Amino acid sequence: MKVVEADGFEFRFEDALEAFVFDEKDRAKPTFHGVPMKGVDIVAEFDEAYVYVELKDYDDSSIYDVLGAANDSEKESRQASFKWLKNYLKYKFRDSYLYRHAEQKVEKPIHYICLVTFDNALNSRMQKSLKQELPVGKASRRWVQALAESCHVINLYKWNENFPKWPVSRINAPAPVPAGA
Amino acid sequence: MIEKLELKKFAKFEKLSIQFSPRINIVIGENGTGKTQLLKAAYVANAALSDQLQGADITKRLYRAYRPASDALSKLVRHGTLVGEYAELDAQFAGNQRLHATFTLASKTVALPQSIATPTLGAPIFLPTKEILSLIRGIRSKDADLKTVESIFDSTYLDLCDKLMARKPVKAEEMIEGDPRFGAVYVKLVNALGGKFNLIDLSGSVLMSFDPGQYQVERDRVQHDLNTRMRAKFIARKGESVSANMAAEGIRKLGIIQLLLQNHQLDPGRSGSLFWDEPETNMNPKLMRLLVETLLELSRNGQQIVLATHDYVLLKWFDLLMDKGKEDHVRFHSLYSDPDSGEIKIAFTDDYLTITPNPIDEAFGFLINQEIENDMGSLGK
Repeated sequence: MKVVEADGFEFRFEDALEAFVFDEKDRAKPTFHGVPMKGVDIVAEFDEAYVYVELKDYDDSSIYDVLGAANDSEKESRQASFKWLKNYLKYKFRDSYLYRHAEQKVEKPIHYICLVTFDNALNSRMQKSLKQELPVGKASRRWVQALAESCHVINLYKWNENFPKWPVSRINAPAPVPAGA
Repeated sequence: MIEKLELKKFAKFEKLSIQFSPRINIVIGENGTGKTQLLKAAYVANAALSDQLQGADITKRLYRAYRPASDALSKLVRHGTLVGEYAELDAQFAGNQRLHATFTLASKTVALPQSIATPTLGAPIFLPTKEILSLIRGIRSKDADLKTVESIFDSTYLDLCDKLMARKPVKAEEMIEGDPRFGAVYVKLVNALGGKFNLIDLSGSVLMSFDPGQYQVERDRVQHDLNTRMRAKFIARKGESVSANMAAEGIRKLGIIQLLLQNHQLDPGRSGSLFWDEPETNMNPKLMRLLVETLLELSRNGQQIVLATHDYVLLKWFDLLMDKGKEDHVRFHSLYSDPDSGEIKIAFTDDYLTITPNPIDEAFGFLINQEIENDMGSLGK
């Protein structure tokens, strides 16, 4: 069992060989990241695969809903938000992959899971865009291996439903915003 | 306006109570949780009051709306109910108006424990799932066999045909000028549809057409008055009008709203509740936004709306377009089957994000589960 805490969440990976905070800021830890590259929150290693986990905990998902924008300016700003989040998730993965390449730790298939607090419908849209751009699978005829084997954008509830061996829970409920803040 | 509906041992429901928003109510729930039955109960109750019906006629209305296997009230009593136990339909409306109907397995007609004071409710409208404009010609044809028609369509279809054909339309231009609330909704809808639907009853043969064109609007500011009077002239696009059957299927459902507004059967602030069962059926998804804008506009003008849906896009448009500054209010009611008792229960929320259970979003969730299984096999399981 490997237990990892990141961004206010606790993950318990029952069957992991290794699992750690990938973008570790603590110099004293052996897993200190220490390179000016972006990094996903958690990397977990299993017998047959690596799993990268990135967490994004949002309050207001509507600012990312491009299809549902009421007018053009709202659509533009939502497109900007959606694109921003997609790029954020994309580059986090790519930099992490490069870093792991330098560690010679890319020999197993890599699954990228983004934990985002949207509803399933909006997560599906984000996942579709992210899969195309990451990209998932052997994107070119010239590639002999894929960067990412798969990519999934899901909420906490779906994570726990699909990965019973890796339960995740919130460590602390967010503190209430004081009146007048 | 319906405020509260309680159903006991009625149809699918053991005991159900629903508190309605005076504005917009959206009922969701998986197939078989009784969305349509719920809407029909509220519709029949509203119609019974607005038409000032008594027990025998209310019983007939129930048969026509629910079409049980035979015309017997026992068929409308929930399965498993004992002899002597009462089924109840209790609907409370604004202004302390109430319809409380009870019956048992042995009843011939419903009983009304409280006499109905002379009610002042407007007549309700029920838009059923199937699009009716393409069917009305057959339903209203003088050659159609009434029994056959009634065996195919329940009363929600036939009532809607009656409403669509009700009294000769007043000239829309006069109504636009005389009633700014009507004008605001109607002109916007016609212009968005790119024309007007028309229905004419030629002694037993219904003629339908769609006249392409749009309203040109002038606004007069009345002296010493902040009220704005609207004048509008319909400018027909060149070319002949087309059969309503030819008009894109997806817009015909919105055409029904246009026609009902035009003949004043749908009269925000005065007519009874508007019930709409699965507006998304036969609707082009791109028109969903217009549909929701139209419903919000009707609601802002005093029309209570109760609809049932399976559609994420429709739900989401309400969430995104509602404007609390304009006093929009949308209440989401979620029907579900209680896993322990098997009874149908209901939960409600005024916040889209907290709809629970939400089978519509769960449908996307099932896709996500399958994709994870395809891509990751037994990892994490």
